[in-house]
Order: sequence, then structure tokens, then C-alpha cells
Amino acid sequence: MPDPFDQLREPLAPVRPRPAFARELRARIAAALGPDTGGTSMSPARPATATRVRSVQPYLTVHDGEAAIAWYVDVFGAVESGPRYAGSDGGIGHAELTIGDIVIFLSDEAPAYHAISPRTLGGTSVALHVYVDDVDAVTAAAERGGATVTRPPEDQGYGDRSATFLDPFGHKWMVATPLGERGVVPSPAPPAKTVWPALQYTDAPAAIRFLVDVVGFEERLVVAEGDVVHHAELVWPEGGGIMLGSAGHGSADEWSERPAGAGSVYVVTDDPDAVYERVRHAAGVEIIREPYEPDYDPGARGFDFRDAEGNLWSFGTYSGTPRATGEQ
Amino acid sequence: MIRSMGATAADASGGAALLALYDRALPQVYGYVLPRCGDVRVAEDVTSETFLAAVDAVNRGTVPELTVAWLVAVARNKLVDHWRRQEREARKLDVVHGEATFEPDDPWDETVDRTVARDVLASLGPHHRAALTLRYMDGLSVPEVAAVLDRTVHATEALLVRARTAFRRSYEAGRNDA
Repeated sequence: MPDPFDQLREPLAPVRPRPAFARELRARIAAALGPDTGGTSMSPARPATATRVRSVQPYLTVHDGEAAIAWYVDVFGAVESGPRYAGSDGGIGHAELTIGDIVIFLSDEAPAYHAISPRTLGGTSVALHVYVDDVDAVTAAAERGGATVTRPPEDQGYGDRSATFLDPFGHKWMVATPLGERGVVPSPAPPAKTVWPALQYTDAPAAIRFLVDVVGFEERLVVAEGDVVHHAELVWPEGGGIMLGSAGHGSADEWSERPAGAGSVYVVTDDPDAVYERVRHAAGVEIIREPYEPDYDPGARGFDFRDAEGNLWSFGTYSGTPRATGEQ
Repeated sequence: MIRSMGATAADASGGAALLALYDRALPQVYGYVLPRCGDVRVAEDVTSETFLAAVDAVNRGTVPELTVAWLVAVARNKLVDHWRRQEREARKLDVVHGEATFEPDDPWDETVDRTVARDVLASLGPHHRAALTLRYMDGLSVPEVAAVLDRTVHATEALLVRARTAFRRSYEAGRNDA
């Protein structure tokens, strides 16, 4: 007869905790690890280009930053996505939250910096409009969390279902979900309009590996059959991108019949020396010009190289002549 | 962006490794803690303490090997800490609450209903609960239980005898009530 107590044995089996708890704990770990460990930048919720997005960045002042962060995490499913800095009085001097793909900065009150909360001001004149996956669920969660719902969720003639509430910290939120898209994650925004240089390579797969792994382009799209690349889009992380394909692969279009190695491209980057360090010893690369400061733009940096198939590449900080006032 | 692309896996710090492990480790740690404490709120607290202790260890460079198994071992210690706190609270609340009197650990042949057993475990005093959980749910040896509880093997054996007696009395009382 086995010991009855042995029947208590509980083998280790994974159990998923509440998603809100999992998110919150991840944010706490990232915050506790601090910025030096790379902890916060590992958070997948943080868009890498957040600091470059040309949009209005809300920076909220609240009378209780700690409570506000917890509230936004609970109600919006926000993730604390950046390093937290203490203010001079020990409160939150700066914190970053990500709601979906929206980044919000937040701090406690700091009158010396004119950071004053709605509670102190007795109201707010700004509404924060946010598209969410489920406006009804968010509004209900907000109400449970102590928000004052001033306009319950309602279908609007312009195609959204939207609601308005004042959160416990006095900030006014307009939340909306496009009708017919409830529960559907909005499709990503189309890429910015730009000019795409197009190049042909004899060995296009090798070129893609070089441009991505060594130079630092990001692979957005590759349409290939075996070693023949019909179309590829590689984007430069700082903006712009190139298209490329296999030269002379027989498809009846003029572009693929262009000779390989005849292209030349100039790429704007804040750090051409980093690109130089990556490419200088790569196979087939010939440095045409070592890093230099161009005479037309003192303080700028740049360098040039020829890739394995003969295309010429320039990388530099010079971003072109500033447009004249009033020019479109 | 450019600078980060130059980073290699070898540069990844313990902190980054911990975050990278988090998604996989969280259900394992939580899955260890929850059935042993039987309370979502306590399980979340103990899970949080586990990972934040791991952050401390990473920051101090004292992680022996950053694995799920290590995190579960940390969770076990955090669970024991939780029961110790409970024990202190219980003593404050009920100074006269005595331990079950020592009885011979006579053989007991029974098929234990696991659901009932969990309820019975939850009803025991924290020190009995800790000992039985570690010895039987986790399947640790008596010396291992002694190490986790920071007691001598002899004291642990005595504790286990008392814990088994308390468990059995409560279990049988529950069946007689039913």
C-alpha cells in the first residue's frame, strides 16, 4: 500500500496568469532592471521609432503618478514601456506608457516646471482621443475604476462608436472603435510616401543578406522563386528604402534587364561611422572614400563604398538642403 | 537604432536575458505557486516577489544559472516566506493556539481525494502546510525540506509527523461531516 500522502504529489504544470497581471509584472521587472540593462528597450510594445514619429505626444501631469500608471495599465492595458525617472521631490519625474501603438509620457506635478495636474487646475481643456479595440469594454473598465463617464458608448454617424470619460486624475479621454471593427486590431498605417531607388543584382539573395545583415537595412518584403528575386523591399531604419530584384531573370520587364552593378544610392543616417565599421571588412566591399567631413556641410560625416556587384553607396549625415519657407 | 543593431547576443545582459525568459517562465512559476497556495491574489504576490527577487539577483550578479528551474526554486523560497509571515500573523492573533499533541505516526491506508486534500492543506496552520507541501506536493526529501525551511532534519521530521497527524485528523473529520 503506497503512502496516501504520496498521492498529494503535484507535478509542475504551467498555468497562465491573468493577462493584466502578466503585463504589469513585466513592466515592473523592466522598470526594476533600469535602462542600463537594456531591460526597457527589450519591451516589444515599445515602437523603436517612437522618438521620431511626427505627431503630438501627450505628456500628462497627474497628482498621483504611481496610481495613474496603475490605472492606465488596468483600464487601457497600457504597458510601462520606458525608463522611469524620479523627480526632485521623489515623485515620478518621467514615465512612459504604451497603449497599443500610442506612447504617452507622464509625470507627477512639478510646479517649478509648470507641470500642473487637472486636479490643481480644476479641469482640463484637452481631450485625448484614442482608438481602442473595444470601446465598450474600456469604458466599462474606466467606470469600474472610478472614471466619470460623461458620454456612454454610442454609434456615431461618422462611422465610430465612441465614448467620453474623465479619469480619476482629471484627464478627459475620448475612446472610439471604428464600427464594424470592434475587436479587430486596426491595420498598420501605410508607409510614408517616399522615393524608392531600384537596383538589380546578379545574386540578389546574397545582396539582400549583405544589405540586411551587414549594412543594416530591414527586410520588409521578398518575393522570390528559388534564387530568383522578383521583388524585394528593404527599408532603412531612419527612413526611406530600396527595391531590388534579380538582374536578367527573364521576366519580360525592362527593369530586370538593366545591368547589375550600375546603381548608386545615397542614404541619410545619423551615424555613418557605425555603418562604415560594419561594412569595411565585408566580402567584396571596396571603400571608395574613408569617413570624411564634406566641405559643403561642415560638421557632417559620410563615407562611400562599392558593393560586391559594383553598385556605389554613400552614407552620410547630410540630409539635403532645407526646403525654403512656403515651399511644399 | 544603428547603435543597437551593432549589438550582439554576447552583449545581452542578465536583465535582457531575464526579460527574454519572462514569457516562458511566467506560466511555469505561476503554475508552481497557484496550486500550492490555492489563492490567486497570494499566487500573484508570490509570483511578483519571485521575479523581483530575480531582478535583484541579476543586478547583484548572484544568479547561479538563469533558468526556469532556478526561478521555481526562488518561488519555493518565496512561498515559504509567505507561510512564515502567515505564521507570525497567526501567532499575534491567537497566542494560545497550540500545536497538535504528538501522536505516534501510525499507518494510514487511504486513497486521498486530491480536491479534498487541497482544502484540508489550506485549512492547516502555515508551518504544517509548508512542510506537507514541500515534502509531498513537491516531492522533496526530508533533508531538502529541512534546508528550505531552515530547520534541522530532526526538527523537520518531528514537524512532518505533527503535520501528517493534523492533516489526517482534519481530513477524516471532513469525511465524517460529509
